[in-house]
Amino acid sequence: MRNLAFLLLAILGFAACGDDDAQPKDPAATVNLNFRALYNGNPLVLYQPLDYPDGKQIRLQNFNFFVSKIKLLGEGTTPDYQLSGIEFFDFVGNQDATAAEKPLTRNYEKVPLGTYKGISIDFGVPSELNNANSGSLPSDNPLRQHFASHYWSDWDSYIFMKSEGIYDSTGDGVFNQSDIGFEHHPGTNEVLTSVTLLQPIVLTDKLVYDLNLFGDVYEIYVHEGVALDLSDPANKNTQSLSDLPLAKSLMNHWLSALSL
Amino acid sequence: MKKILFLLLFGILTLMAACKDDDDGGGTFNGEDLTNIAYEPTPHELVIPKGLPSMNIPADNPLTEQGIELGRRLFYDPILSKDSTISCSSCHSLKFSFNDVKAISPGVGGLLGTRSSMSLINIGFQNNGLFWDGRSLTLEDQALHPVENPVEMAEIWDNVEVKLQRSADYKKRFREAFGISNSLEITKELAAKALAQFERTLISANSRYDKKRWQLDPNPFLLSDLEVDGQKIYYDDLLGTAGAPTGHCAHCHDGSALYSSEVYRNNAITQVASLDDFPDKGRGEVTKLRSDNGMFKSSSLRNIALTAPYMHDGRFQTLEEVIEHYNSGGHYAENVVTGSITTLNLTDYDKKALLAFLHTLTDTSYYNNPAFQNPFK
Ligand code: HEC
Ligand code: HEC
Repeated sequence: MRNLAFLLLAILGFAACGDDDAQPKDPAATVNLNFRALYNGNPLVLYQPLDYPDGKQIRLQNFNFFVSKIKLLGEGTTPDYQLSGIEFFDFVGNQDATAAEKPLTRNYEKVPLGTYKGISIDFGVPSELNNANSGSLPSDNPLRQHFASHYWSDWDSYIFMKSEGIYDSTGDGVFNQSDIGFEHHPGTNEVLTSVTLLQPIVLTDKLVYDLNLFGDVYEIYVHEGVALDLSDPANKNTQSLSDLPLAKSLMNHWLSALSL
Repeated sequence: MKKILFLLLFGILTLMAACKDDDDGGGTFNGEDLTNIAYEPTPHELVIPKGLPSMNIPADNPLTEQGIELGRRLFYDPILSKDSTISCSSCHSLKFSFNDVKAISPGVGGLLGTRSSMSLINIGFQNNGLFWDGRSLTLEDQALHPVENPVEMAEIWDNVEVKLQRSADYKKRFREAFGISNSLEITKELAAKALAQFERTLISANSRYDKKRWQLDPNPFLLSDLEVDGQKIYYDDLLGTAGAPTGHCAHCHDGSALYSSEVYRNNAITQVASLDDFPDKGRGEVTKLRSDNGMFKSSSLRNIALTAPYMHDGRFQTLEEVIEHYNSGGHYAENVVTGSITTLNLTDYDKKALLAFLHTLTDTSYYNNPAFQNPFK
């Protein structure tokens, strides 16, 4: 028994030494980015009727988007730190209340310690990556993974965001063929939107910091009290080349739609 | 149940047959040593044409000339089926872009499944699931399915392995491709790897539209005016211009030179009372999400003119019928994205133009490529 304990100790000691030698650990923190989608403050549930400000209802079927250059903004001696160059968030799983409570999470390890004053995050694909060449990136890159579904070859641009659903234009409380389906697919470099959110983030050694982000679809459609007129057929489909102003305004609304 | 009993009986019988064979050799059969055959695999460099993304090749299955050739042979060899009547190529025939021209392809004994065959074209680039419902994630996994599917090859892999292990030619080829040292090391996994290697070479990017789109040919008149008008409808180029025709096709069939966005959608071909009533639930069967019922993969429209009839159940005989369907808006259901699947109000001219554009996606060099042809002929 004593022998066994000794052996165990020896192994443990050995393992620990080996570890230390190979890689002296710099003090660092882990940041979990937790993204939740909301509709007017409540967790977004797809395929459920949602109240629109004009008294009618909408229902969403798909909601996903690219974000890029997710940065912690340094303060004082702490420089900015980029957590990720590109991410894709798809809320297709938000199909009931329980699922909708759960965020989509990305973990970033080895984040340098310091006091950060907030974050900045770009909605869309950075111009240097926004072309067909991104289809040749390694297979674990979101731009390769979603190349087929989001790269729009006629514009040589990715679709930055897909928001698809139906508007009960007849107002009869039933969604069907006589209502207006909408499909908003903004893209192209002109619509890239940078959002900065200020909130002190203090990272200490071994801390696991939960950075909780909320994206409210309602705010994308209803800006400063004015709702996008979904009854207007011109607002039914949005693609940037043909409908740049609308595409741009929807993407710009991320400025108010995102919160910490 | 009957089927299982039958398969069991069949399995036992073939095992007995296999045993008898071993006995002839005296004692247990230990396979045949293959180390006298040279193992010098030649790496195969894939050339990825313009418009196509990178291909994900698993680290444990790099492409080699020997592996690809073995895969091609397995693909065309009916040895994979129970009664040696059906090969992969029975339902995936090169002259139809590795599809067939049947609504439902018969398997062994003429048995019919429920779904239409699919083109195998640029298949190695797909990364969002294989089959109409995406239930298989890799070509290596997919290749295992048809052999044991009772309405396809109706065989069991144990038998196929024995058949391959006994073939002098396959013993040599498996050794050359994978470096096995004994014939008993021929397994279904290696067969699947070889098939996957062959399938990754099935690349096409030389249709008339490709030539225009990626400037492979400087001729400014590659596409007629009619075809260009169709292109605009396909890609919604005129969206926002009042009264201009839009087809929204590219929302589901783009992916650059793939002409498939690899999404699962309900394109409104089936009329149902509720999402629970689809005769084939498609994607919903895989994800168990009710809202995915009736969704299928928005398959590639490359070489589509060669592969009638259309859709997962082969319900439309012609592309004209397909266009009529989309023009009508189809059958509403909760999970139809009615932003693009909606009444299109295309004129006769628009429909003709769209049809003409679909024909520009045909790559004749694909089905004439000798590297893809039957090696046994
Ligand atoms: C009896 C006809 C038949 C035979 C034999 C057959 N297939 Fe298929 N294949 C089909 C059908 C039908 C589908 C679609 C099935 C589904 O979605 O459930 C399909 C789908 C596929 C796909 C998926 C394509 C895509 O775009 O997702 C691949 C790959 C494939 N087959 C390869 C093979 C290989 C390799 C073999 C031989 C080992 C083979 N098939 C034998 C009929 C057949
Ligand atoms: C909302 C997505 C969507 C849109 C928009 C769309 N399709 Fe499809 N398409 C699909 C899906 C999904 C399938 C497979 C459906 C099935 O088999 O049940 C399909 C199948 C097809 C097929 C048959 C493919 C085959 O291998 O049998 C053709 C042809 C086709 N579509 C042409 C078009 C054209 C032309 C347009 C534009 C007018 C268009 N599609 C618009 C999703 C879409």
